[in-house]
Amino acid sequence: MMRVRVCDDFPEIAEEWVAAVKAVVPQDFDVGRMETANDEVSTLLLRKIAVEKGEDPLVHATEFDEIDVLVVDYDLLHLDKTGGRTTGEGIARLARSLSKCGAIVVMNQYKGQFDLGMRGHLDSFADLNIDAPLVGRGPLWKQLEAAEGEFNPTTWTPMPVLLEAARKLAATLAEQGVEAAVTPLVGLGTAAIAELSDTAFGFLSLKAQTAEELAAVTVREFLQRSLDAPFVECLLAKAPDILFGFAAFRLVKWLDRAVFRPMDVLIDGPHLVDRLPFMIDPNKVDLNDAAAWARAASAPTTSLQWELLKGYHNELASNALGRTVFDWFRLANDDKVDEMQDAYLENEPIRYYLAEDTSRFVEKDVLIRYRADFHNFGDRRGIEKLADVTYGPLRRIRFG
Amino acid sequence: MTDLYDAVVLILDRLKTEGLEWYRGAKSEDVDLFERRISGNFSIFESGEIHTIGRKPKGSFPAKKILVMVPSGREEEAILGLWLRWNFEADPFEFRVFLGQWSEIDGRKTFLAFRFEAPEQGEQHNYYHCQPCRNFGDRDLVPNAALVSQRFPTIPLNASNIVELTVCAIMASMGHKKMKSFLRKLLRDPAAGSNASLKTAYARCCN
Repeated sequence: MMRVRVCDDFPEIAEEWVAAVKAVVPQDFDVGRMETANDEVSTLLLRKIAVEKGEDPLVHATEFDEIDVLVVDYDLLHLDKTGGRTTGEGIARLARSLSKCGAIVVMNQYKGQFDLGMRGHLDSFADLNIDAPLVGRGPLWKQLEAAEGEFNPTTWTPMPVLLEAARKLAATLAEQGVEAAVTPLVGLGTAAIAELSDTAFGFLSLKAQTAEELAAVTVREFLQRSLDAPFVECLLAKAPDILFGFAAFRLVKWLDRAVFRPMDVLIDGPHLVDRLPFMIDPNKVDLNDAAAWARAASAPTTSLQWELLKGYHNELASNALGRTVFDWFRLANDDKVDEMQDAYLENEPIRYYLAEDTSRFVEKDVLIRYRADFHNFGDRRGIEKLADVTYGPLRRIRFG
Repeated sequence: MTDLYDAVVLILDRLKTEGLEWYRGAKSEDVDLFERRISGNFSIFESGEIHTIGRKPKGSFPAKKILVMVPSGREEEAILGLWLRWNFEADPFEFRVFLGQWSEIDGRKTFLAFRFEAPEQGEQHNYYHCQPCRNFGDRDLVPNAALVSQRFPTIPLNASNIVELTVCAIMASMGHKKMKSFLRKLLRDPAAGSNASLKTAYARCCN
C-alpha cells in the first residue's frame, strides 16, 4: 500500500489536494492530510539538534518515516505561535536528511507548469517541483499511454516508480557501503562521465577535475559534499537508513536532471526514436500509426531494434531512473547506426516527432520547436502547447 | 525559403556549438594563440543571433565576432573562423559566408580567407562561387592577410541554394568524411531531420 501525505497548515487547502490525488490513484492508496504537520516538522528539528550533538535522532519518532510520497506546498508553514516558520523547500530538506520519507513533491516553488528550460531544479531537495493544479494529473501517479490533449510530460516519472527506483538504489548503497564509488553504482563509467556537464560534475564533487577523479568519488565524499561531515558520520552511526535514503534520492535526481535529460550520455526509448526513427522495427510496428510510435518507444525490447540496442542498454542507470535507457554516447558512434541512417534517408519514409509535453508522436506541423537550457546538440525539442497548461519562458520558442 | 533559412541556422548552430566546445576544452597554448593572434581584432561569437538568418531579411553575424570552428589539425597554429552576411531584400539576394584561417607558415604569421557567395547580378559571376579575400566581412583588411586578388579566381561551386553553399564552405575546411559525419549527426536532431533542404544537401554534397 502506498501512503501519500499532504502537508499544509491550512486544512481546507490540504483536503482539496488530497481529493485531487485520490481521484487519480488506485483505491488501495492511503491518501490523507498530515494532521499534525507542525508537530511533525518540530520533531524533525529535534532530530536535527540531536544529530548536531552527535546523539541518536531516532529517539524522536515521526510520521515522516512512514510516508511513501510527501506532497508539500512551498508557502510558509507556521510551525508554532512564537513565529517559527519554514517553507516547503525547508520541509523537503529536513524530511530528506532526517527521516526515511519517500518521494517528496514540493508545489508552487517555481512559476509555470512546463519549464521549457527542462533542467528540473536540481538544487531543490524535492524530487519533483510542480505547480499545485498539476497534483491531480494521472501521469504523475501512474504510467499512462500518451493521449491527445493530455499533459503527460516526458520529464515525469510516476511517483510510485520513482519511489521504488530510489529505494532500490538506497538498498544497494547500504549494501556497498560509504567507501564504494558512486558513479559505477548508477551505470556510469569513465567514458560516460567525460561527456557530463560542469553542473553534473559539481553536484557530486567540488574537487574532481577529470572523469577519472569523478569516477573515484565515494558515497561518503558525495554525502560530505551535500551535508556537513560530522552530520554524515553521526547519521552513519545512528541512522544509516536515513543517510543512504538521502544519498539515493539525491543521486536519482542528479542522474535524471543532470545526466539523462540533456541526453548527451543516456537516452530513453521515446527520444531515441525521435532522433533515430529507424530504430523502430518495421516488422512489428505500423509506421503509419503515430500512436504506435509512442507505444513502440516505450517497449524497446519488443518493438525496437533490440538486437542492436541491447548492447547499449544501461541496466543500472535504467533501474535508478525507473525507465529503460541506453548509452547514447556509445550508440551514436556505432558504424551500423550510420549505415542504417543512410539507408533510412534514401527511402524517406513517414516520420512523426516527439512532443515533450504530451509524450505523443505527432506530425511536424503540430509541433512547436524550442530550445531547452542544455546548450548542447540535443536541446532543440518540441511541444504541442496545450491550452490548459502554462509554458515558460516563451523566449525559448524564439530560438527553436 | 523558410526551410532553407532553418537549415542554414541548424548547420551554423551546430558548427558554433562544436567550435565553442573545442575552444573551451582546448589546450592553453591554443587559447593563447587565439588571444595573441585574433583578439586584438576579433572576439568569439558566443551568444545570440544565428536564428535571425532569414527572419531578419538583412543582417550579419555581429561585427568583429567570428564563429570559431574546430581546426582541421593539418596546419600548425591554425585557427578557423566563419562570418556571415545576408541580404534577402536585394535582387538577386546576397549571401556571403567568409571562411578564414589564421596560421603560421614558414615561421610567418598569415591570414588566408575566402568568401563563398550566391550568384551576383550580370553575366560575370552569376553562379554560386568562391573568391579569396583579405578582409573578413567588412572594409578593414585583416592584419597579415595574404596578398591575394579579391576577384581571382572566382571558383564555381556545386551548390544550388544557400544550404548547399554553406555546406561547400564548411566542407572546404573539413573535407568530405568529416562533413558527412557532421551532417549525419545533425540530421539526428529531430528538428533537422524534418528539414527537406538539409536532407537534399546531405544527399547532393556528401554522397
